[in-house]
Amino acid sequence: MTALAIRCVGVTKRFGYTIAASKVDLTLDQGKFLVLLGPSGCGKTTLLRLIAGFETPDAGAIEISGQMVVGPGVFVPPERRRVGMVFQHYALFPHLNVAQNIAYGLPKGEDRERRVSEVLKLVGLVGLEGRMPHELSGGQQQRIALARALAPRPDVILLDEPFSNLDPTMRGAVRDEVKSILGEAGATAVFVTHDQEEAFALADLVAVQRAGRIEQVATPEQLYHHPVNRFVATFVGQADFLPGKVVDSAIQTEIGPLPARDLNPGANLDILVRPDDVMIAPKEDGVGRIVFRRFRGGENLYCIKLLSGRRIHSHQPARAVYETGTRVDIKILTPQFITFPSENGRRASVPAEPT
Amino acid sequence: MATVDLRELGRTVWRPLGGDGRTRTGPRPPAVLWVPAVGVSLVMLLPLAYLFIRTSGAGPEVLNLLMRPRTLQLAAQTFGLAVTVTAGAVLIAVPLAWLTVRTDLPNRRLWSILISLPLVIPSYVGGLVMIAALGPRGMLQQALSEPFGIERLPEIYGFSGAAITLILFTYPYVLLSAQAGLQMIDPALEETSRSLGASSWKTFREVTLPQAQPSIAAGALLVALYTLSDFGVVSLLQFDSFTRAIYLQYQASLDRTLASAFALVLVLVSLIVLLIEMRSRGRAMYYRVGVGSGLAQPSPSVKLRHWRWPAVVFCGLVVAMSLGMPVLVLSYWLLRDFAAGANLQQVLLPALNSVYAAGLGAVVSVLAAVPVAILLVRFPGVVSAIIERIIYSAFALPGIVIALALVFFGANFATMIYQTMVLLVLAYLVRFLPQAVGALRASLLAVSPNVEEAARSLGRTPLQVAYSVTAPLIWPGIVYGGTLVFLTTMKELPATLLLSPIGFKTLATATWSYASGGFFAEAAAPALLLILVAAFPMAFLHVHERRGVS
Repeated sequence: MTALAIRCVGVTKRFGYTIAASKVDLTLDQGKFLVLLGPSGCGKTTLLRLIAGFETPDAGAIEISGQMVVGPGVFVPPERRRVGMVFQHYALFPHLNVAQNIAYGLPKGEDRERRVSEVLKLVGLVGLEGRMPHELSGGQQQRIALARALAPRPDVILLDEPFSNLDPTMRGAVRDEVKSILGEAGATAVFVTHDQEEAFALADLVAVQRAGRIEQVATPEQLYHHPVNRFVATFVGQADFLPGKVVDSAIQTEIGPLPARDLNPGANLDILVRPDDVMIAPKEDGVGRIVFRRFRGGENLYCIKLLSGRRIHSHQPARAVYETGTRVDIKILTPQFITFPSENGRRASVPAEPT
Repeated sequence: MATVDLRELGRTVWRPLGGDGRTRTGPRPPAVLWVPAVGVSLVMLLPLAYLFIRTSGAGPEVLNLLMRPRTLQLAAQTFGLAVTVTAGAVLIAVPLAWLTVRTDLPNRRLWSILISLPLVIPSYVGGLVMIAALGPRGMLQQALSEPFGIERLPEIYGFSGAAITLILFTYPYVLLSAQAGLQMIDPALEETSRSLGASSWKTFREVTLPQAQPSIAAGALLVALYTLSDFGVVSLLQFDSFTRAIYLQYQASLDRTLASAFALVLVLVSLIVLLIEMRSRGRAMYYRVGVGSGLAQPSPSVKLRHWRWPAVVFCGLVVAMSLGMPVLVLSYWLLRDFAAGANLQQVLLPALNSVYAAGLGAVVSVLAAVPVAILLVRFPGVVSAIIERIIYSAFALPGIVIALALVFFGANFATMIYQTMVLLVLAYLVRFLPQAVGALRASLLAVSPNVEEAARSLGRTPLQVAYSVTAPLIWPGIVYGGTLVFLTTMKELPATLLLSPIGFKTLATATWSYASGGFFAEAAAPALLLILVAAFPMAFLHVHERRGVS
């Protein structure tokens, strides 16, 4: 069994009336990457700062590498937590050069210089030792901040929105590079981001957070295909919800009956529909009409308006081009339907027959 | 300049207690911070608290004293002077600011420097210059008496003399603030206005001026407070305002109840001005949308065309009155003094004393400001908000009031430090701590707390972080704040006059005592030296602010 790098138990933190962390339970194995994903203000940065020791929880406990760093009667200050931190704006020391920045967290001794050049090599910036932070590009500052955090070989490295300050054109490349640097260093990392794509690209595990609460912790694939609630479903990708009612062994919907398994007969449901699972075929008396098409290079995104007015999105190959206004039939191809209890009974009423 | 502090003040005081809602409940500030900060605040409260106790101790008769017509007359005169001087300073400074920032005035950079220079001339030196030039036995009268036999000139003493002097030497406060405000305005707004068909006058009136208004108001507030607290000019020009009345009352009688009652009323009036200004500020927010780039954009220059020469004459007239006249008049009297056999030996000791006292004041103020500024910036909360208010309210405390309170306090409760440098430095601390805190606070705000946190997570304790990261980063702010306090302490008159140890003469007190005795020739040397010494830190501040902008 691999050792735990981080364990949070019932961690709670309030600022005035806002709850930034509400009974957060979380574990992370050594060498894994966890991404805290959520809308801004959901408390993900606070959780990071609680782990780093810059905030104190109102309740709960946190362990790092099996040692309790905060809990009942225990508070280990940040400088003794063996946690590296990379800030959104990098927070390089403006009065120190690159080598001095990286050496800052290293004990005095001859090993110091060796370690500085070692991590500089790791981040691919050998030769910049004498530069001052303001003489570096954004991407370079980013990597120096990473090198500085990695230099003392921390048990865990925390990165707060590390790519949000970079030019969008280079963000992807820097992200992949940071991931491989961290992988090479064998680090355990916690990222904070509000960008779902970034989360999927980086994470072994994603924790989706809302209003201080962790909604779901899972691999990116599990999150996308098996979200536990509507919020998670919509936050990790485009999602439409199709209302239906369980009748016999099928869910009756306005696009026709869909197979139902283990569902209570008579229940009103909303079915999660991802654009990738929606097939469309032109048909004169089809169930919907194309409202718009957005060409995205590698694919087309179609929006189809059903007779009820509800809209469903569909991804189609780049060359599958249909006119706006075309009547289409819809098929949903998925190995398993994800359903949520209906939000509103009346809205979920199903027309008996598509007219 | 001190304007920075006041703009800071406007921003802070209206915030509800406990901060802006993002205030964190923790972490609590360590005792090394809040204990000295609370201590400093108590010292700041001392003068006012003592005055209050002292006055109320005299019982209901104080009310009778205060309700006399004499008091009301003083209040009316003081307030009238403040209003007149403020209006005059705005009327001179706003056109000057606009000319030097927004137009193609010939040599506008040079004018910009020249018109800001009167700031280094303490207003009581200005008062001395007015009397020496235009008063009885002054230069003008002497020049006119032989050829024309003119023995009397229009009276220089009284309201108009005091008002003109104060306007001439305080308008730079409005000027600097208005210039900064005009420079901050996004030129795109004026261009938009013009492209929507508005004339340049309409654009100035409806777009430019409303946006510059908060900074003009900040400068005007400074002038109003300065006038209320001014002691030197009104004393030399014999205009009965509160500060002069307080001083005369203090000197004339052993019963100091009336003096302290007057002082309390003066503080009240100052606080009212402070409140008026802040209320007028609170309504509108002025944003400049778009990040960076803005300052690099060249402002559109208004073409003056045939108004160029009237504009130059206007600038020239202001410079001649507020800069040329003092330098010429003082030089003339200095030469006469030398001709009479004097030498510079006699100002050497006062000069050294000035540097010594101002240096002590600067060092003590900055040392006291460090824990306060860190507490305010890094640990916002109820305690910080209260301390902040206590410290900034010192802006409404005229020097003569602080001095008077400390005299009473020293004579009655602290005879150990009475008539020693300790009490004098204490007065400097109360007067100038807000400036030091303002400078430190600005430089601390520029240091992201993340930088300190990064240092913590790299294994350093809070003290090590303070030493290895924070201190080097805020060092320029410390030097700036110290210089600012040094400069203003150097010019300080009332507290130095009342609290100096016996026989301790500074340039300021020497200038004042010669001037008030009518010995213009003897006053010239210390006055000129004072201007000269004050000019050095001023040049330094100028360079510092330039660098801060780029």
